[in-house]
Amino acid sequence: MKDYYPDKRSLWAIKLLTIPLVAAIWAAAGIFIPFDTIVNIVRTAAVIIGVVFSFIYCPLLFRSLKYTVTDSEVKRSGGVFIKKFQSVRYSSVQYITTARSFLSQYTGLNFIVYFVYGGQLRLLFLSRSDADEIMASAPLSQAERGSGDVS
Amino acid sequence: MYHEHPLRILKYSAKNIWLLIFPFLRGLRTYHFSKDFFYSWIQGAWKDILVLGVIVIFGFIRWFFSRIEIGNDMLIHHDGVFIKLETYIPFDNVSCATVENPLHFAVFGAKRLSCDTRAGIYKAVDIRLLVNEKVCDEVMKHIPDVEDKKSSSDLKRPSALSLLLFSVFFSSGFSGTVYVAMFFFKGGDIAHDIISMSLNTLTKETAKLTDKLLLKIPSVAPMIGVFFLGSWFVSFIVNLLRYARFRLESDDDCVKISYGIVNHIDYRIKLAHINYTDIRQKLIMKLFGAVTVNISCAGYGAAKNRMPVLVPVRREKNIGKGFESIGVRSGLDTRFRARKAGAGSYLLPPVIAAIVVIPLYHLSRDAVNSFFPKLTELFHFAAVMAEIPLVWLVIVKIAALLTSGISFHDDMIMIRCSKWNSFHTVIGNVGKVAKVEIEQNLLQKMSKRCAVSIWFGSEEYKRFKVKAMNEEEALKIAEKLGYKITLRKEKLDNSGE
Repeated sequence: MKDYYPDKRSLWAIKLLTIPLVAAIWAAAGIFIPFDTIVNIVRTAAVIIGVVFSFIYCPLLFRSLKYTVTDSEVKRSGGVFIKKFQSVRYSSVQYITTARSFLSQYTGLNFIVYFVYGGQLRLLFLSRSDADEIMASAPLSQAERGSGDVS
Repeated sequence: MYHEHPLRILKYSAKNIWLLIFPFLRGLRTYHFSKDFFYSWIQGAWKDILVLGVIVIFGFIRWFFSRIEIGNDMLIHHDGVFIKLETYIPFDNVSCATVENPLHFAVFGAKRLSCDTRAGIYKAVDIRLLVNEKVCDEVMKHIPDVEDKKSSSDLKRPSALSLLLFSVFFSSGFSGTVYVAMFFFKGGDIAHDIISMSLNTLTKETAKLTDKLLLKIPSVAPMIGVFFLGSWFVSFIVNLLRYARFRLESDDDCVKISYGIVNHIDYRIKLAHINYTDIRQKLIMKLFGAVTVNISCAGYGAAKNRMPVLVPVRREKNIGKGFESIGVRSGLDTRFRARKAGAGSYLLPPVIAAIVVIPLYHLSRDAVNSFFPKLTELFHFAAVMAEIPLVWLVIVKIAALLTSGISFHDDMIMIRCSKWNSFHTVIGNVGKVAKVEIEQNLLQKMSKRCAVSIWFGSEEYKRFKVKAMNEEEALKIAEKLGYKITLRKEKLDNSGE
């Protein structure tokens, strides 16, 4: 049994991604909205939402999230306003999808989604090494990989 | 590792790239052809052409990064440019593999391959790829196939009459109208002109007809009738083409189904992954002893406008032959039946609805006469048209009251119920029942009756409800399914023991 926690680097990645997003909303508001009052409201709201999301909500979420992997099941617990505990047995997993961002070994944006009967279990913001380790222990990872030749 | 078929580049480029054809056609209409036509067109349209080129390049890049890996026991799909997605699907978990061969892809050697597992809560397919024949065959080698030696010889190919009747019963004016509306919206101005002209001609001809026959019906009524008949006919033709060449083979492990002319589809379904069988009838089919058999399995019937049909139309008494392995049986008795004394739960809603239409019509008639005098005839016609299906529903619910019930045979449960104007006989393994619910209102509590609802484990959240069941029998049913339910309040023991 092993516990995994979200990678702190992904928190920095989220903060860095929020800046251009807020900047884009700032610029778009100035270009497309003709009324100054509404432009100011939209810009202020975008900045406040961006700051709250990056500096308050995400750190609290990261602090609460924990993933536990055993021989027979995967568990996830965490949440900011509502604490959720989820557990899924390997025997009910139908298939798995992994998502990795560009330069994920530096950004920490690695995700694993287990598709099971009746829903999904998502492991978010894992480091590259943790994601590889979890996939290695997953029941679907025993298969031989094909060759690198593409046709 | 393989790539998807190059045709996929068009899909990745832009979903609505074909819309550019219409301004192109309009542009062509306004230009007169001359020596310098092409040069002057390029001068005006070079920016559009550049944007189109960029869209196609992005589509190509997206296609290049979509790769398929076929392992010994799983299918792996690598996708994405900046965000890399990898999907691992073990072949053992695939409930239904589908190969579509649309006519317009046949020229390019492309096939649409889909694999679906029992995961998720929506009917969406888990993976869908556009591949060439080589890749398709490579994947399908790992999907169980019907072995000729073990194939059930009792299964007969559905006859042409069976398919014709299936299309008659399951086509609807509504779906035909949807096809016409889709053509109208997607075809833009061109379709608008064609349809408007046709409707004007239709209106003039029906007006002439009602005048000649001196019929006291609003002239719009035959027009609407003809329109819906025409829409139904469109839906009928679509269904005929969709389900033509229907073939069915099965052995102990797998069922293979194929049908279609314009888009020929092959399905391979794992028997063990079939959740339940649903034998459906409409009222008219019931009178002639005919049924259609559907199955519930992840991936089969998941596509838009597809029904999960196993047998299009067959006589009810012949339905068990050759289908026992799939769990389809005929001639089974219903052990626990709906009580006739509980007729109110079946008949009250449709009877009240049918009765309410009449005073509503009389109350509103004067208002419509004063404010919208031109709509009076149409309003009268609409009231009559609303009454007919409600009376039909009352007849259906009377038949449902007489036939509904639940019974057990070996390890199978059989549920006879009705939904709207269809009758269902659902047969499934007791082990696949996911949820049981017993509902009892105050009146039912006094008369010791209740409604039993059963859900099977499947991607769809489908309830099968039998009303007016005896309370004791309902509790027995729940116990047989492994659920201990009490309908009376039990006194809490506060001693802590």
